[in-house]
Amino acid sequence: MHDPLLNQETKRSNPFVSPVHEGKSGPSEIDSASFLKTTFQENPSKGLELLFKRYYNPLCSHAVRFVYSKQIAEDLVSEVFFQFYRTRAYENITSSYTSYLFRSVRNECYTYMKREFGKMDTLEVSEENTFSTYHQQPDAEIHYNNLFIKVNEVIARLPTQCQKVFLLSRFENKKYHEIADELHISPKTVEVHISKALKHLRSALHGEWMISFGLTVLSLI
Amino acid sequence: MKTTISKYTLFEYLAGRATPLERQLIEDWIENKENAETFHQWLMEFEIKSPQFVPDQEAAIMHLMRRLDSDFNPTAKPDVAEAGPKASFFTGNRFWLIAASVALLVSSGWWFRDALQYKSYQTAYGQTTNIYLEDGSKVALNSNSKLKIPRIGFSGNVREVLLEGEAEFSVSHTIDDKRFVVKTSDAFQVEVLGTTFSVFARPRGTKVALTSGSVRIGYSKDNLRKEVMMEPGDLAFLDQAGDVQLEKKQDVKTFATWKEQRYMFNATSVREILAMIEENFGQKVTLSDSNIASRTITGNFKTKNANELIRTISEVLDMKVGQNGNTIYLTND
Repeated sequence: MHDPLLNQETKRSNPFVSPVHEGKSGPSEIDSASFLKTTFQENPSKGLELLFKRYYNPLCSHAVRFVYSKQIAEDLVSEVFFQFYRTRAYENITSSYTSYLFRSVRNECYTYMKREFGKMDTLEVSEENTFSTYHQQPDAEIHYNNLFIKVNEVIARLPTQCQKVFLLSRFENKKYHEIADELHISPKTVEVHISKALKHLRSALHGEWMISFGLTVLSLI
Repeated sequence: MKTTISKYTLFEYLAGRATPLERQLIEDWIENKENAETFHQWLMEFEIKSPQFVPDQEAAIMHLMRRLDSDFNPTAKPDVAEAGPKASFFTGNRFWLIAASVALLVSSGWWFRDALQYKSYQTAYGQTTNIYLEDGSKVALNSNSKLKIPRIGFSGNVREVLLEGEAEFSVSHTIDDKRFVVKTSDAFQVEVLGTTFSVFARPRGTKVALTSGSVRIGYSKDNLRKEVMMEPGDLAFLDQAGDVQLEKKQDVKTFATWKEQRYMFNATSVREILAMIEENFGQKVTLSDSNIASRTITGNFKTKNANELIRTISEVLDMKVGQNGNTIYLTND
């Protein structure tokens, strides 16, 4: 563990990362962004295709860190692309595509998690504008990070069998009886494991929504 | 306070491995709105580097297109008016749309194909490196060389990598006998199961030296597919006519001594040594007297930079080293 106070560039990662890779995201990034922009002007649906090809996989990979379900992650990311096209957001996007898409997906994930694992607060949910990512607090990004890091911690800490069952059910989207067959346990045990995992998640994430409520209030003032 | 965060530290943080203090530093950094773009850019790189799963992209885009299609269909929703004239593209018949999207998919896929599919490692002049592949194979990459490996692991029944330059491969054998293929061009490839061999693929020529195991070289000449089997100790090279020639019982171990920054010459011509220096260090060396080029040198040199090697060679040849701009020249005393 190095001393974080020294704030040095830790380069103990792979020594073979080439100069081509390191920090050369500059020109090519700008090139492809302007290419995408032109495409959106000339043929929006082609622009969408290109954007999708480039960002769908990394965005899904990120979303799954929050929701731990392939299906839900893909649905949330697709929804972002759908709205991006439907509302023609590509016409007045001020940030980079990367920034816009990651912000939107993270916001979607957060909203989803709050609905699924937070306390149901009808008022808050109904007032939720899912695409109000532009005027967000800067702290929101940190908040999103804390959320998915926490989710991962909780799941990593689950007892082995419980974790296995939970992942099969949630990540792989398998039915209870399928999991029971696969692991040679009773469907009842599967149920117990899953509810235990969910209980852990709910209680661990409890604090997250409290902070977020504080944030919302703050932004209203 | 101005803080700069390294990409590595951010990756550790995203992976949940940062210390509380590092976490604080990074959060301060993210809170600064100026860093938002960099943060998202690195987040994207992080997800490409360590993907959590690989979604079915083609199915997803078909689904999205179908959804957009029905959304813009005037009979389905009234808000088509808001979508304006551009929406007329979607009101046409569905079959045409799907056909078009498939065509787009194929063409756009082609556009980003390389960057999406492959991760490349590039060494600078004078720099060598070891790359460990996910199947347990090891690649020692010589300087001024480039290796491309599939980003999302080896899928299918072939492990395929692309090489420009020079590398030594130690390929591990897989349970399902998956072939390992090194492509140097569309017309030349080396195929193995598990073995140690080095490949030299530079403009000057293409060579393969086999240390252990067995290797099959596939190449095409005049649009014909040809094959050559190699045994340990064999050195294969592509000749001027485009055929692969085998030299038996060579000291192939000397072939990849560059791994230890060691250069072994066995009656090697000065011409060849100077070409090697230019390839590996990007240093051009010219001779005042072209007859010297065919003189040979035998010996074992250990060096990390071109200048040291050039000085040693000049001493052996009893010549003087001079410099003119970027070019180094050797002259007779």
